[in-house]
Amino acid sequence: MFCTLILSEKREAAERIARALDDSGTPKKLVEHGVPYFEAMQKNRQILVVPAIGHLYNIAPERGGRFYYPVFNILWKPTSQGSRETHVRNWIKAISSLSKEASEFISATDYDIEGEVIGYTILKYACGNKEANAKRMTFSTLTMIELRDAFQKLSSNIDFKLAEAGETRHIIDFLWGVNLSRALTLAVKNWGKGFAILSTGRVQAPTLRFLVDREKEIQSYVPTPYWEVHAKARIGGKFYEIEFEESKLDSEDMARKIVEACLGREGLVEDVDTRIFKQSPPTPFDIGTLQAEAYKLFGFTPSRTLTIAERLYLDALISYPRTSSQKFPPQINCREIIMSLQKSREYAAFASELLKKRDLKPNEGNRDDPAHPAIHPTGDLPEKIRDSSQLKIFDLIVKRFFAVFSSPAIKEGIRITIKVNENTFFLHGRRIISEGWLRFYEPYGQADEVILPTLEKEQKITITEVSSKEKYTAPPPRYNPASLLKMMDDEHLGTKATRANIIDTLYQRGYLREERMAVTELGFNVIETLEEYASGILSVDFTRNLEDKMETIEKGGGRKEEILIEAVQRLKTILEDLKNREEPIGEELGNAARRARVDESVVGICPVCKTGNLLIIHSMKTGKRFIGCSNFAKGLCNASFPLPQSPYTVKSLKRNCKVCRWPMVLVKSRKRQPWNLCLNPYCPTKEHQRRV
Amino acid sequence: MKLCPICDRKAEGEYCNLHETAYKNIVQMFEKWQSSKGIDWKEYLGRIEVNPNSGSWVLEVCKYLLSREETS
Repeated sequence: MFCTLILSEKREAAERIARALDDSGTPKKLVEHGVPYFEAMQKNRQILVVPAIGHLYNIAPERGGRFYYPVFNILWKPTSQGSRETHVRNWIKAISSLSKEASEFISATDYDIEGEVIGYTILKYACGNKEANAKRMTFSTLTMIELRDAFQKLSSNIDFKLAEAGETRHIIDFLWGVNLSRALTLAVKNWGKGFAILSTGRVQAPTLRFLVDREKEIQSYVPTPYWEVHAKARIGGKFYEIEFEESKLDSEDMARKIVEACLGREGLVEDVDTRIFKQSPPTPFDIGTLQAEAYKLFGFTPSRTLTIAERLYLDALISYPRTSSQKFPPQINCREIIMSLQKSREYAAFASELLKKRDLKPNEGNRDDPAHPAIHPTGDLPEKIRDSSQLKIFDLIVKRFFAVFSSPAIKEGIRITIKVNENTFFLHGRRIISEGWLRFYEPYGQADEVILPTLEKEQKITITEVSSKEKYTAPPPRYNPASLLKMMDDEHLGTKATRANIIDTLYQRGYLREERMAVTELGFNVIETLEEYASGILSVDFTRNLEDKMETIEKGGGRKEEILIEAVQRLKTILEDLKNREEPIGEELGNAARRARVDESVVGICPVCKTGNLLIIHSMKTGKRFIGCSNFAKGLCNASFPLPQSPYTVKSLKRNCKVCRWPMVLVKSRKRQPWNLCLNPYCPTKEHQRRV
Repeated sequence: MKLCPICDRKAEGEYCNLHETAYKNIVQMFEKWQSSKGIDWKEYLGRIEVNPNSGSWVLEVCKYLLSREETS
């Protein structure tokens, strides 16, 4: 019997493919070397659908130990990551063994740069050089119809250009990451007074530099005073805030004079300016805009949103989320999707209203992605979703999908100019004439109306209050995950697939803390040291240029070898600089790492002696951790408090309890939600626990 | 090697480069504060030391400058 082997990226996708292709819709679930796979039957054809578990092969050094560098000789090796290693080996064994039965090979991994590399490496190394003859199955949703259609329209080859672009990216990122990280780590190790695993990379370093530059602005910010003039007007029995024409006044004297001139005076309406404007519907979601919107609305980090969106994709509820497109190509039957969504009670009314339109035209954005359309619902409805985060993202995607087909919102903006003894004030109002897309995007779109009474020119108004208020200028805000993602996108740093991970890595390495992305001392020192001794790593232009060149491979213009040579030559120069200055680099980074460790263990000022610091201490004798005062060694304070032990992890929160003002720590475990623990055993917040 | 009197890092001039930037900003903004509030240098330092919008390096430099003024 003719046997076809289909490679998919994940187990859920493999099962869906097998179900779509099996004549009876009930494929057999089988196991090989502990690896689940699916057998679908079609007349005289046996189709084996085998999942992978992400990358089964990764770039690795040809030789050398953990700290060996420089590394330039590399090869693709089975992924080795601790306990995952055995798992991956079994997976490779299973795929190799099943490939022996197959006479046709199809790659059905996610159709993007990473998916193509996953398929290419498995076909080449696990299946024994089958990449040249393998076919490609491409789809953007895991619905039965699209999968069957994709199987009928197989490409005769895998996308070699995409695979080559992916391979180039893997090689460059590996060489830069491993060599630079080892150079920094070894510099500290060879300094001989400490040890710290430090990391940097081609995208990580310029991204961190942006954050450091912003942090420098904030930490060295000197506020300056300014004054605002506030006034209230009574119109038709209601009170309205009116704004002085200059929002910031430089001198208190000027503000006082304006207040004095206006107090007890009547206002006169000088002008009523009404403008009607259209607010176009939003554009369809690409992954970046979805991540930014989910952060704004629900506070989800970009990586969390991506994980949730991928789950929804595997459940065939939405299209492939790792897309840069803000367009819906004509082959997507949007009307049919809306008709399917009409079956849901929640979406029925909106869907019916849209379906009345003869022409469904989306308000598309500028960005395009040849591989996948903008993120959209498939029309399948979520029966299984129990997770509230998944429901939130699904609802957001559906409502956005509705909104993009809707009509613009029509708003009226009113600006009333009021003269009070020669001083100009404004009263602003907003009114919605037609809700348009805002209604479809509720509760995510904001109507923010300010309704004003009808006023006419020369009308007199009673001014009830005039006052001035002293304020201070504020530093620029810190980046948050959404704004950082946008900045990386604007600067061409990383790709849509890697940006969220890079942000996570900056946290894991201890370069950032808190949601508002405050740079730690270690983060500062790494960037400062690189700026001083190897500024080439931080060049945004170089990273952006390399990114653009890698994209040309995808489009068939660039050559892998040329780009690799350029990247490696640049890397060699940087590594030489680092090696020549290893001693001062090691000393500066070693000291920084030591300071960072001390800083990490400080919980706050000791509430008992008021002069020492409370520290998280690990007992050499028992191996247990507890809180102790830094004045203990001087014999001045013996305050100590117990802490939860392993498997809990404890981190300093750097803030005090709102009730008793004692320092607090953050306690985390795998199985429970993290919680904030006040160190005061008699804190009123623990009253309930004590009674229990 | 000269050290920053505030944080013990390597100092190029009087301070390390981080506190130097903060110091320069403090000096630069004094004129604005002086013209809008008519206060002297010491009072200015005291005001920005308690301002919640001041950066942490600015606060450290202020503290240092004020303590130096007190001892001199």
